Amino acid sequence: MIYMSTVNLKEIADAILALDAETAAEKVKRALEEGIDPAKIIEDGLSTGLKMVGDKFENGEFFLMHLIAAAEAAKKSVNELLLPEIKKQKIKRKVVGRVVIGTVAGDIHNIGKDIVASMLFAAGFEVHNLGEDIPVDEFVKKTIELDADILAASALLTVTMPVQREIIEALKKAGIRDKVKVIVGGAPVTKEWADEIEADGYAPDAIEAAKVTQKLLGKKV
Amino acid sequence: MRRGVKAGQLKVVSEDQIYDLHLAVLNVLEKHGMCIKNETALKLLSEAGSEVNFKRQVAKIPGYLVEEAIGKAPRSIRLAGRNPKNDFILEDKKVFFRVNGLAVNILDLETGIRRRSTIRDVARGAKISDGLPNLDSANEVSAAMDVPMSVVGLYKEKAIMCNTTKHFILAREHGIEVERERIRMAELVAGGDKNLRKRPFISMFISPTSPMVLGEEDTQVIMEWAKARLPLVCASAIYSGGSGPITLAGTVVQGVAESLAGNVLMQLINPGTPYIFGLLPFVLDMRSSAVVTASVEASLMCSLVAQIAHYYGLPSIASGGFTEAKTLDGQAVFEAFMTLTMSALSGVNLLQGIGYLESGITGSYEMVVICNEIAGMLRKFSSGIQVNDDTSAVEAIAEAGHGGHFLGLKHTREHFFSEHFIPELVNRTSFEKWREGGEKRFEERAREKALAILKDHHVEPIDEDLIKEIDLIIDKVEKRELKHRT
Repeated sequence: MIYMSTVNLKEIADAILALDAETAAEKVKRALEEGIDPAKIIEDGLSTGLKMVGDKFENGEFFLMHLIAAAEAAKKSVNELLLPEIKKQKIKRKVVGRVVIGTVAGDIHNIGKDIVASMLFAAGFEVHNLGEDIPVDEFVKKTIELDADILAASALLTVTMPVQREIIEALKKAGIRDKVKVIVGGAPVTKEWADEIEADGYAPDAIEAAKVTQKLLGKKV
Repeated sequence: MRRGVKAGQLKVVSEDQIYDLHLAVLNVLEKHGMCIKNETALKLLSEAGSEVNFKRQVAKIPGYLVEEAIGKAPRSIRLAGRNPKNDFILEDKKVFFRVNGLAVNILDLETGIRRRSTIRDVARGAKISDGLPNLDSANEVSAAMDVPMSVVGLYKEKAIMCNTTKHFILAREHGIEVERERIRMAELVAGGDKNLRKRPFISMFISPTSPMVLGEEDTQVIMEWAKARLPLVCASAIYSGGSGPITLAGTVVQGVAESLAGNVLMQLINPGTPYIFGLLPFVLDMRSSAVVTASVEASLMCSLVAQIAHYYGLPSIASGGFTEAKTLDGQAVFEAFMTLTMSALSGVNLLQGIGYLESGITGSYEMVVICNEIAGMLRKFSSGIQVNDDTSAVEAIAEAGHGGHFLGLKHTREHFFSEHFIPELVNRTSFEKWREGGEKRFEERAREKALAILKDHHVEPIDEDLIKEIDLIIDKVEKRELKHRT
């Protein structure tokens, strides 16, 4: 039984490496049917696969599109099969951190932010993607509600950048500024701006964003 | 009137392929549809014959509507300046150059420090663009980060119009209530809405949110400007591989579809309203996840956009002048040159992207000056070679004799200015002369020229009384917006 489950989990990892969402989901389903612990499936199956994909990216064999395809393949299994099971079994899921991410009010751009969300998911974070045009209160509310470790706010226009400052002010007002790390990004956002508004982190692109977020929580990258 | 040299020598696909791409565009708009987040616009499209899903806010626009709208859009658009000598006509394959207002930072001209841009920089950017002969449309180069964000667009508009008499293009900064005031301000200076419409010294730039979405506020502005019959650019900034297909043809198909969707709406509201078609194609770098503004792929896409524009008979805009360089080095100059050259030779009517470093994040007046020089060379390049009995010089060759020279000939004096390009920034002196002159590098000479323009160039001021009225508008709107927020 243990021998079989090890093989199954490696097959899940291989499916992720092959960027095959369907096969990964099939094997996850089988593993769940065999009674394997969902957390173990995530750890030894999906996360292992994502790590292999990450390694290939580092050595230049894979590119950003492979990272995202792999993350989306894993996400499918997590959202459709594993999270419902985890909820049912009332398992406490071990994650690197909890992230609330969104594009600020007045701005409907999403792609950069979605790439960051996928990268953070692949790195083992529990990611709550609020979407676009998100008011300041919503950011704060969700941060409190989900007990988030990270608040990530994206702004693509110079006129919506100031909302990032407003979010930080609102966190102060709510008395939770020191309970969450704020990372900001978006095309016009610079390190100087992030420093000025007293954000905890800044990244010029999605790949850096994932690294900075991990560093903010003291993880080695 | 400013003249544009006709280009279009550079083609990247065949005629047949243009038609194939057009069919793909129609297919995307008719079968997949455009998401337009505005109820009024969706109703208009529905009434005109589109299949609209109001819940998902998607309009499937039939091919005949798209083609009808192309037919209604004007072939020629006058972009005017406060001074009529700065008017120019966008049409055919004539090439014009503009600065825009993208950057958040500016490379300080006096200190060389990269810093946040201010409203004072907006004024300086407009003045420098105004003072450079090969830039047809002037703008601010960089943003104003030190004025109230709720009315920054109004502050910028005032600063730009006071520092240039050339045409300038606004970008949407606010909701419709404030954007309307920008039209009011321009009407004030033009002497009424009829005057502004006849000779518009401002136009508006709207970018759909790729892929295949027109946001609520963008749609409202498109409709407002169509009603006012003022020129509007509808052009997306797509990064291939991210917000558009990885294939170059695919990104162009999507970009064309997004732009034409805007035009369908515009022509339904006010048939014949001036529409500028186009695309700013970028690339998502798959190694770094950065959005890249200058690349061979982007230039190829700009060329294709020009070819499609000519096929449709529509005035067009595309990019040229961008660079990823972080400083004024060889990369900056070669990327700006490459992107300007490809787009200009393809016959894009209006090129934008001039005046930046760092993918558009930091503005540089040196780059504006450098690109002005490149623009001059490209005008010369596009005009080709004059071939006639006189320029074939059979008589002059005989006159110079065997083993003689041409310096003394009348023929030489008569044709020099029209045949040879006289560069300003490019250095051609001897080494000793260059050393005596202070061994100045190319970018230093560009900086000196920018400083000279700021110091010596004079811009025809706007009447004091009009300025007072403009200030009243800004004040009124600022107070109103403050009330809304509290």
